[in-house]
Amino acid sequence: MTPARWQQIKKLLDEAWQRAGEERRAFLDGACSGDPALRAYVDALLAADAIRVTFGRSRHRV
Amino acid sequence: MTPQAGDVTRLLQAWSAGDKQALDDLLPLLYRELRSLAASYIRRERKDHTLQATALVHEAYLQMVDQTQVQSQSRTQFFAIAANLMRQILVHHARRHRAAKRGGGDKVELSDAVAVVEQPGCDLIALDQALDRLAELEPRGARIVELRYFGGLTVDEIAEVLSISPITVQRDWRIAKAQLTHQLASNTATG
Repeated sequence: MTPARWQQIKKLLDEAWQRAGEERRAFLDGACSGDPALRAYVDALLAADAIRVTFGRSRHRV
Repeated sequence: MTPQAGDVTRLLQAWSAGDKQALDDLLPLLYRELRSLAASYIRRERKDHTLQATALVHEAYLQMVDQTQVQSQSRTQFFAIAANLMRQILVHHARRHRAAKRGGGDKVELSDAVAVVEQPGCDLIALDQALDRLAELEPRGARIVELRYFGGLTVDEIAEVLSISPITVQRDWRIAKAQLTHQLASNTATG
């Protein structure tokens, strides 16, 4: 992935996170129109982000 | 506290005060101590092979630093250095373990990374490689993950170490986390 592409993806993610549901879908439809690969990648990252669980928790058991 | 506790405390203070040479002296000392702690931890916990990087770093801090002598800034710096060293040590251990047990089902996992490595077959070595790849795109995001995962630093502490705002830490963390999770899931999907 080129740095420019990654910057584009990051910007879209940031903006997508400020929207939800139908509004997010409509935003991505517009922003990724004509670039299905970009849309697929952003969707994959949004799905990965939705797996909230307990990533990064600290356990000071010792 | 270990015999080197005085040395580590002194070096940490000197480094915080701007003495660059102090860091060069501190690193090998800290590496040795963290490695021996990790090794004894692994022996004790042989049955499940689950390592807790942040717990180890925390234990090292308690053993190696005289807490009455250092400021909170030095404490944060200790954890920031230890995070990177601990990553190297655990990944090194995992590679050796894998080489020794090649073909076996045994693997070392990092329990703090439990959510990322939830997918079966995804382990510390995969996480390390994914972090390296992330660092090519997003060096600061990869460093944030390292500090949080392997050092157990809070968002505010990471902000202090990297001289950025806590909001930026949170934003970078979220993006880094999404990319890592996606990358690890893709690895699993493609074998």
